[in-house]
Amino acid sequence: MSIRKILLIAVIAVGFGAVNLIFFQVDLTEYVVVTQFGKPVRAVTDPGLNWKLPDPIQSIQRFDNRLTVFLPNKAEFLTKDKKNIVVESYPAWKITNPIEFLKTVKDVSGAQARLSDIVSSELGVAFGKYDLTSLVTTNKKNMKLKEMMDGITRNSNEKVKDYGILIVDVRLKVLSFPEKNKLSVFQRMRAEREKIARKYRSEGSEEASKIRAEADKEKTIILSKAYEKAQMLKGEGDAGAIRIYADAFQKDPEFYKFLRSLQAYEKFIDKNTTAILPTDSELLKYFASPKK
Amino acid sequence: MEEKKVLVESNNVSKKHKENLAVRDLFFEMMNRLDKVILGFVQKAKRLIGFFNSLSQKNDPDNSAVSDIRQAFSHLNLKLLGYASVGLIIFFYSLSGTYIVNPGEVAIVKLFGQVTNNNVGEGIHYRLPWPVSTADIVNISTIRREGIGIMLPEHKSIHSSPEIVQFLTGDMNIIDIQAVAQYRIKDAQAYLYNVSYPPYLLINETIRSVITEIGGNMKVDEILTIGKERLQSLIRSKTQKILDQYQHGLEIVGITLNKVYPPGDVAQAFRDVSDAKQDKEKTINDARGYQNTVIPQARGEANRLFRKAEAYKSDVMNRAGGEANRFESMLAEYKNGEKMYPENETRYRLYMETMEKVMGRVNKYMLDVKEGQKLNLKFFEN
Repeated sequence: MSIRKILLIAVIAVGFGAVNLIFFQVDLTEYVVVTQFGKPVRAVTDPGLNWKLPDPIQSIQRFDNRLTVFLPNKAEFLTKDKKNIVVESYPAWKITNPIEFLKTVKDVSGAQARLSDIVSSELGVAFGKYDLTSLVTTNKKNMKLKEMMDGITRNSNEKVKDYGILIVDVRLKVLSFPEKNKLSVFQRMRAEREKIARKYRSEGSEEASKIRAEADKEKTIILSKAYEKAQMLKGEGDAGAIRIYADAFQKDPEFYKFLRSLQAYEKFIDKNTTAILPTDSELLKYFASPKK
Repeated sequence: MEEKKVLVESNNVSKKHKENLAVRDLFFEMMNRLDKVILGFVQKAKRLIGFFNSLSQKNDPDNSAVSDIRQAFSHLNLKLLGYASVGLIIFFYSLSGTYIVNPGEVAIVKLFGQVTNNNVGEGIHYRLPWPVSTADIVNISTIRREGIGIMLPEHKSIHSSPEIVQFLTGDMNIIDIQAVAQYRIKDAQAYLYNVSYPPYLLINETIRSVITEIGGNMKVDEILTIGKERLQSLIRSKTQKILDQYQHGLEIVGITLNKVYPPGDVAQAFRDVSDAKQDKEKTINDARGYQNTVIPQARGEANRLFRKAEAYKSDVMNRAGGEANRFESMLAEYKNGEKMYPENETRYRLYMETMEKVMGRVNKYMLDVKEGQKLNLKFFEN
């Protein structure tokens, strides 16, 4: 093998090495910090191809610049109205300043430790300022949850600023009572439901008896009105009859009396009647003597 | 090649009988292998003996293996072979920039980590080989699902089993919820490069926080009855808003609330409320029924009374009229007779006729009395 060939191969090898030691790619999902003997000198935040002095003079550290979510552990807090609550929160955060990040928290797990401390202390402070009834309420105007969470995000950001971190938001995944308190909540729920059920049932019977009473009342009114009308009609009939009789009979009262008496005799004298007739009565006038 | 296939959702298809077949095959295979291994040992031992034998027969260049190999490849040009292999390596290396985008997928091409084309459609494409250029392929047409408080079968491999998801309503009731979110990727670039948290988990956390927020502002009765639809659309729009804030390029297609119900034994109390509601309706309906029978009955009765009275009126007046007529007719004739005959015997006739009828049915005693004589009768009843 000639000297030239060996030289060529050597140059190519060194070239490859240099490419790896000098040039580096920055992906759009990452920030790169260039360190010189371990000391950060500059940050590359734009994606593309970059160069640096070769290792070991300058080396690089890569940081993911994408948004990520950190799930701290469940925590219990006390609200302003002294209610025990269990909270699971999560901050969505990302690295904004890789140099600060590298200097202060070094890596993601370091950042998570700080975030956990900061967010939970902010949560504790915030819950101490708000009543549970203003976080969980049916009154829209009274709802302060968003206000509180925005405050927590703002305050936490104030504290993580120096770590080169931005908290996009802090959200509450769980806001509930501790397990040991849930039993009494369930009891209260049950009692409330029983009350409501009772209310429904008594409302039902109230309404029903109202309807029945109304019906009975109406029935009575209908019947009494009918009675009134009926009596009126009967009266009209009787009056008419009296008039008719009077009209007719006053034409010859004596004859009427005679006829009416005869009619009456016919009715009231029945077979149980005993008549004692003197022979000089008008009836037996001819019975005693046929004389004229 | 560094095509990341993000979100690999495996669906395992292991079936029992297939496993059985596999076990049987494996057994035969092992037996075969054992045979071969034994045979191989025997052959190797023979060869070793032969090798030692050949060593003892030295200075015979034609018989050595090395010279055999040399002889076999002597016709090849080593230089040419070297160039050819280098050429082949370069050829295949540059060919490695080929990639295929399937229907429904989109590829994003990066050059030195910088996006150069964020919307490569389906087909076969070329980019510069790694590490200069890379292509990330994402399926943007598939609708994916995520269960909240529910385990979806396709997630068994990537999720741990879900906890019961409960939330607090505005009136401090605890409610269990099970929901399924359908989502898809609407912006491949945002999806790939903006968030480094599994999308299904992000959606899960976000929806839970949204439920906490919205549920905490609604009454339990509202949620359990009419509010379900509203709750769904509220959760959807709010979740979308937050995902947009995260710039994750995800779109919530729909939220389905599978179960929204009070937990365990409290449910019975809730059921009793709806029973009570029905009881109320029933009691009221019964009363209405009573009303609807009583009043028509009363009206009927009223009508009957009225008609009866009318009948009475007619009856009385008609009778009166009849009697009056009869009287008037009789009177007319009577007067007529009186005029014509001085001694009107009509009156006498009428009298006698009546007496005839009346006296015909009574017990009669006749007393012979002289004219003007007075008589005293005393009756004793026993």
